[in-house]
Amino acid sequence: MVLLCRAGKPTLLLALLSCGVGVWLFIPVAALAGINIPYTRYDWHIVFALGGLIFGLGTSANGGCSISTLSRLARGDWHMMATMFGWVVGWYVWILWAGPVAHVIEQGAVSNATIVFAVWFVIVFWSIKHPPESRRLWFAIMAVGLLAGAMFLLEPHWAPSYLVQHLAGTALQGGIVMGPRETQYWVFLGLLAGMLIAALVTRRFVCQRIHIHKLVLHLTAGIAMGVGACMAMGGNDTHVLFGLPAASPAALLAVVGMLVGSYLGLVIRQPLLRLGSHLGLN
Amino acid sequence: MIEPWLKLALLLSVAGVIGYIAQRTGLCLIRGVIMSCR
Repeated sequence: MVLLCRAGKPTLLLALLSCGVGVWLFIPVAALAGINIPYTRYDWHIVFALGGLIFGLGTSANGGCSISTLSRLARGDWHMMATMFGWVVGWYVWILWAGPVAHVIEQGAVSNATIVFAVWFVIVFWSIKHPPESRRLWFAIMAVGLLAGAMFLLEPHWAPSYLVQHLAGTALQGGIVMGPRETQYWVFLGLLAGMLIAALVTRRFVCQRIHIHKLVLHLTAGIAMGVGACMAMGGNDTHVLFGLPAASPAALLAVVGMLVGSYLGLVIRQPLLRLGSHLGLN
Repeated sequence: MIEPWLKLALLLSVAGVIGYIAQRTGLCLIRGVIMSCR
């Protein structure tokens, strides 16, 4: 956290948005190993922007996106359980009511690894110019992109958003469709374990008391995140790590929507907090 | 093909490292937006 606070203003956001490039560095490795990395690109559709916007608003209300919801849970913030439950419910409700709207424009293996390598080296070269604290943060987040690529070879649907999507899909079909794979649960547990170890090492684990009004807030935020992620065909993790590097037009729309939604959420958050305080909810 | 136990060990290890880095760096979209707006 200290590292983060010292980092430059847009460093974290830029690093987050570009770390997905690292995923595609594993394409040649996959080709050598005879593994065909599947990817799907969706066409432009306003629903992706709207979904991203709703997801961003939910993220603001929740105070954390898909990955950081898990981080907060691992730090002892049990309200995040409500967020995760709401996320599954939101996804389920939306797909039940509206169904999928997007159509695939391309599906197959990514092969243009040369461009990815070029972009990667430009990013790394550019990041060297940063102050040491920012550079460390930058490389740590880019390492996440690289590791996400390694994970992609082992379990293509490892991102937490996919787990939610598959859980909601199973509920929708009454168990007829295949639920999440066992490996998805293991990845989820691995992520939580790593986060818990980091929280314990840095002494940031605080077992928080549960408040009903906070549970309601995070459940509502989670539902918004679920609806938004369902409309946008994924949360920020899937779009940033897999959609943007695959040059998916839909992913670009969704991420822009998420950023706008997050910003708007932050703008309206303060008046709402004051209102909550006035009503004695804080 | 890799052995199932090895795949599981790799999954847990890599996921654990991602989780560790995510926690240490405060990896979060909303935090990125907040810091960009400051």
